[in-house]
Amino acid sequence: MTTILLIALIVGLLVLRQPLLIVLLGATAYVHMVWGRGQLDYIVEDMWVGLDKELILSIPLFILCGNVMTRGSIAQRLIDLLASVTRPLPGGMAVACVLACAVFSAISGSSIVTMLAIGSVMFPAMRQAGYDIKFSLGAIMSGGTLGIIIPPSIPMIIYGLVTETSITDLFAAGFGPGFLLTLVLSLYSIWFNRRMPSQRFDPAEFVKAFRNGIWAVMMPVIMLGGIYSGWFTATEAAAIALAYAMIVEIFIHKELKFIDFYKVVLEASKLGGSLFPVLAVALSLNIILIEHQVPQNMVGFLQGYISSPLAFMLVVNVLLLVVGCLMTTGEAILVLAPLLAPVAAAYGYDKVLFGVIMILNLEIGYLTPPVGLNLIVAMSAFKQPFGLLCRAAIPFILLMLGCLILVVWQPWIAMYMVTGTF
Amino acid sequence: MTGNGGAAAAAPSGAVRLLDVWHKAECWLAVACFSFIAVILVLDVLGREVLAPLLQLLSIDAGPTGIFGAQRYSLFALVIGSFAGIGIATATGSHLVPRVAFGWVPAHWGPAMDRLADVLTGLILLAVTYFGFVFVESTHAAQLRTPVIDWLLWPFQLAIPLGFLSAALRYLVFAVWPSLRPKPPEFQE
Repeated sequence: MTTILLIALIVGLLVLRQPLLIVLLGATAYVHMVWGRGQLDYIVEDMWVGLDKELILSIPLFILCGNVMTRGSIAQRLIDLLASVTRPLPGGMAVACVLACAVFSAISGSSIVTMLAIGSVMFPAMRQAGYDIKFSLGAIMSGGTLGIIIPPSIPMIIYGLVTETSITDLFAAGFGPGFLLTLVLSLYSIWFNRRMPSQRFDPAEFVKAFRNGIWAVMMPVIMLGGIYSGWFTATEAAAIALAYAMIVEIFIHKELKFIDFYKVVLEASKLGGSLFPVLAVALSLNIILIEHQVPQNMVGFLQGYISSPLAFMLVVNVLLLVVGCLMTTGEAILVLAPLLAPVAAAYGYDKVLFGVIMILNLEIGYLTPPVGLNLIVAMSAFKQPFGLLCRAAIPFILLMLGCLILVVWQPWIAMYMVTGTF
Repeated sequence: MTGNGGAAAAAPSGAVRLLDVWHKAECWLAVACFSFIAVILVLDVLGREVLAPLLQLLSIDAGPTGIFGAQRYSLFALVIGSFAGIGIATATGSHLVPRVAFGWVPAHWGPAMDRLADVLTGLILLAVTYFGFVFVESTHAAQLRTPVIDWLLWPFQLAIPLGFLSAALRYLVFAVWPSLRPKPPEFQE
């Protein structure tokens, strides 16, 4: 009965259009009142405890770094460099689009920012070059989703914080699936555009584009190289990346002035203001749920019905795909990850692997209506009808589902960079 | 800041001005905090990871090259900046709002629902503010100090109830003068 009332409270708050912060606060207060000692000041105390983690500092740094690097002409520089390399391939421009999204993802950590930055340059260029409109839109929208799987990824950091999983391991585990998706999308781009004429490689164009774009390309190399080699922690890598981004943008690209820096920091503050309090409440809820052994009870309950780990994984994937259609990535991770990760661990799935699988599912959610963010943003950014965008996304969703199945079937794709074994 | 500039005139100009000043103050506070985090952490990491090996290479013993307690200072700045950010997110309509149930009520109820939502959010946040002060009072009474830098905790923890209070009051202002309510963003990631 008390569980039904909790669900009713959450539904009631959702109908009353309450922010996620309030929904989580309501649920946490209910748990304290009904199952706890009724001391609601513990919520704020747990929020403080939740935020008092040095790892959390990597989030504002990565947000700032992404904001500094993704303004100005970085996207154009990356596209020029990658287009000069992929020109000899059939569908070279489409491959350049996917690769630019992948490299940009390793700088920005955001799906929408990646799609908008690359798409605003590539969509008109691909249309002008005669690429199919549905294909172009699909490639840009799906390429944008790489932003949350290729590290640094803000959703991965949030997952790591709410499930107490190593963020460095999550970043390492995101590399394989990110590479797989990039490869699959690139190969599909070549196959789909196999009748498009290819062009000759122009060394002079490459050298010029290399000179302009190398500073942007080096950013993920330094940041991820530092993390993967064990030289930096995630927070240190974020600090180094921010320093690098500032130096490049102020002294080399000369595109960052003081007033721009104020705007960049203000944007980060806005994002921080909507994210950190919610994260703090989610962490507070997490603490009280663990105190009352809710994840363990869920494990016991589920194991009574589902004995096979594979069956569990199938059910969870279907659930996450449905959730991805209805909720944004941040909401889904904050609400579901603390509940599902311990259950997945009880079924023998590593929490790092489960995090990657969860993010792969939610990544597909960016392309599925009604809350597919990349569809919604593409509708206004590229002025295309929603139906066309949904149809354009279908082949790419199928490819991404294929990659998801492959990662579930062959976990080493994600875990090799963590464990070093197949 | 407001979603409907024309209709915003319906609210007293004093209220509009007060909200603007309040918003700007929160923006500057948050920008100062996040800039502080960026600067201190970057200098700390560069000191430890770049300067130290460089000095070592030159056989110079300069002692610790990082900034003592950098991460603790940054965490305090993060708490202050984030809870100033609640007000900023409220003023700019940037809070994460699940829209899954928006269609469950008739569309023409929209404005009334928004107003009711603002009243409810404001009242709940006022309650959270109260419990925030209770928590800070207990820390103050116990004179709790932070590890590493040994500073009193309560002045920094005060940012939590104050952030909630700022957001609560703003939501209640939106409920009184709906024209001041910011237009929600087209999309939120």
